Amino acid sequence: MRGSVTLIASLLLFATAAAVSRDAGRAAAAAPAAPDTGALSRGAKAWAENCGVCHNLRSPDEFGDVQAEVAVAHMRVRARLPGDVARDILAFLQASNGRQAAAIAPAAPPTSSTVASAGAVGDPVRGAQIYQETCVACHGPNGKGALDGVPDLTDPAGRLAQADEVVLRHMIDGLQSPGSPMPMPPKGGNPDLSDQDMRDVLAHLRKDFAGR
Amino acid sequence: MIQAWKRIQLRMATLLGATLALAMAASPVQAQAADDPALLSRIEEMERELAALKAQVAETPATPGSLEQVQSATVPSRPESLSRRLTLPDSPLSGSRLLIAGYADAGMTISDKESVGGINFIAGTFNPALFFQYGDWLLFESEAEIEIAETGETGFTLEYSQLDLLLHDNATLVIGKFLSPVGQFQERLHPSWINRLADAPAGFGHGGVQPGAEAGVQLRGGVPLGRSRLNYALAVGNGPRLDPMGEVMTEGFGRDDNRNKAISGRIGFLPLPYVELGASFLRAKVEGATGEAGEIESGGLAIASGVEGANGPVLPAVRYSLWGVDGAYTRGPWDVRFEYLRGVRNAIPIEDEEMESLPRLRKEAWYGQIAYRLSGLTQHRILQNFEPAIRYGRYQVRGLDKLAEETAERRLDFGLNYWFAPAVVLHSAVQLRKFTARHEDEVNKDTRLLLQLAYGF
Repeated sequence: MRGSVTLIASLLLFATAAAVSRDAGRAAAAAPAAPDTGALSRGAKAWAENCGVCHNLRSPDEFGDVQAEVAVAHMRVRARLPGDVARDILAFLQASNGRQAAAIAPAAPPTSSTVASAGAVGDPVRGAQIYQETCVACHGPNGKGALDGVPDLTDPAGRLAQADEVVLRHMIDGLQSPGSPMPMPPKGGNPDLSDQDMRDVLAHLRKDFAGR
Repeated sequence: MIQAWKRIQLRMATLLGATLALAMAASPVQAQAADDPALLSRIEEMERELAALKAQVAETPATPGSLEQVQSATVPSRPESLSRRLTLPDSPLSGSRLLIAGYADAGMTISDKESVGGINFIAGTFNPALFFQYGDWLLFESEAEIEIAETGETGFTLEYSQLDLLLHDNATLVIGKFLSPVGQFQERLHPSWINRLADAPAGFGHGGVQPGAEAGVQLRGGVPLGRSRLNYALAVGNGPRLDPMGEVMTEGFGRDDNRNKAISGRIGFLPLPYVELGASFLRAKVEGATGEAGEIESGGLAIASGVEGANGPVLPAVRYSLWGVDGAYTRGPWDVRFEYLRGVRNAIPIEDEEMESLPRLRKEAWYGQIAYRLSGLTQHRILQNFEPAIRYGRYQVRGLDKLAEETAERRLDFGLNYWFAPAVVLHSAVQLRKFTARHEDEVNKDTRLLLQLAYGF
């Protein structure tokens, strides 16, 4: 009995100390800023590494911003994720669900005009820069995939064997096969990227990865 | 609230003013063209808007309500991110957010034994879950389990109902009834859309050795260690109870039946993101009482205290200890797991000439499971969605013959899953069961085909 009381008291004492330290940290912190590209990149990696431990990865667009916030709080508790990891995952999910961009400026659904624009010329140098900032977390520096379930872009019979319009549509709209453990979020999880950015990245993939 | 009321008043005044202005401006015209259809139509439209606004004001509560109430009464539906900005100012003490989730399943079993039913459709379970988050520091979550019993009755169980205080990046305080942190199956894998087979391993479902839930307080979280990570959970709760047979029940009781609190927990280590090793424990005391209405076991009466018929002397509390280890490898298409749990309840001495003491009860369960998604081998549109799975496990009970005859078994499952979507799966499995504590003249073997469609939402 005495031991139980001591343990409960210790738990509550520790909890209080943790809460005080959290509040102190919050007071010292600057005003919350919009998630940076680093957070999105870390979030994509953390999402793939942590959520797939127990269940299949569900496409980020299944949840709106608010739903994602609550779902990630739940999973932070259930999966015992550190808070910073959970925040990175949330930043990634909210950036990848396609709803933020729609609220700012409703984007046209993929149409024949979008597909036709695949023929536009992309800049592989600029694409390489974007790739290093956004795509490298999952696809790796050599395109072979940094995480399990991510396709090998250098495979001659792989994703890049498809036509430009197909690859570009998957890059812009995201892709999830039911059997694949790892979905591709729209624009790699970075809604700030434009369709032209995607064309640049594709040009980089074609130039530096295809068939290597 | 006040601002919203002012906005309504302002809109009414504006509309009224516009109506009057329009009426005044239109008066000369009306005198000249009183039957102008466009003008009459416009006036009628404005009158309708005014009436609607009046009705809205009448319905608005006079007492200050929540910001959301006023917004829902005055603001038409908006894109979600915009409504989020309205309901979630930067303050951590903003309003609550709601998420509804859960899962459901249904299926059928085909057994080679007529005595166990032959072909049966299983209504399955419906597990709705509600999550309310307040600010960024408080989460309330609750899940119910609704299922149809074999007798046709509807069973309702509150699986968990807990308040989570997100105190620190590495610590969350959980209060209420929560899933037991012991082991990995019950807390993480039991939802049917996550489970790789249609049912729980032997000894890991309801009534098995793995604790189901606990009511109490729990501290849990994760701590990064370089590229590795440690996670922990430490809980203090009401703990298990004895059932009338002397079996230990661990379903999360809302009240303790003795002065001793149960302590349980788990510590997990992830040297790599896709490898986890865990160790769990539970220590508690259970207390019984003698009486007349209990089940006869071992030639005597031994029943749980606090139940009807337990009118005899309270028996001395005895120790119940449980420990276990578990592991998981979840790289890419692989899902490989094992788990072992062993629980021991000490003997219960009964000083009564008509009754025998209950011997020490030992329960032991383990399983190993391998599942592999064919997407690791092929990108074929159909084939990649298949997932073969195999599981072998054993549940042993010693010290309580009746319980052993009912539950002790070896179980081998050969499964094949088809994933329609990441959270929609058709489980199929051939299950070979051997009830190890039954006599030769009893049904001690059973081969079943299980089919189950599970949907996580």
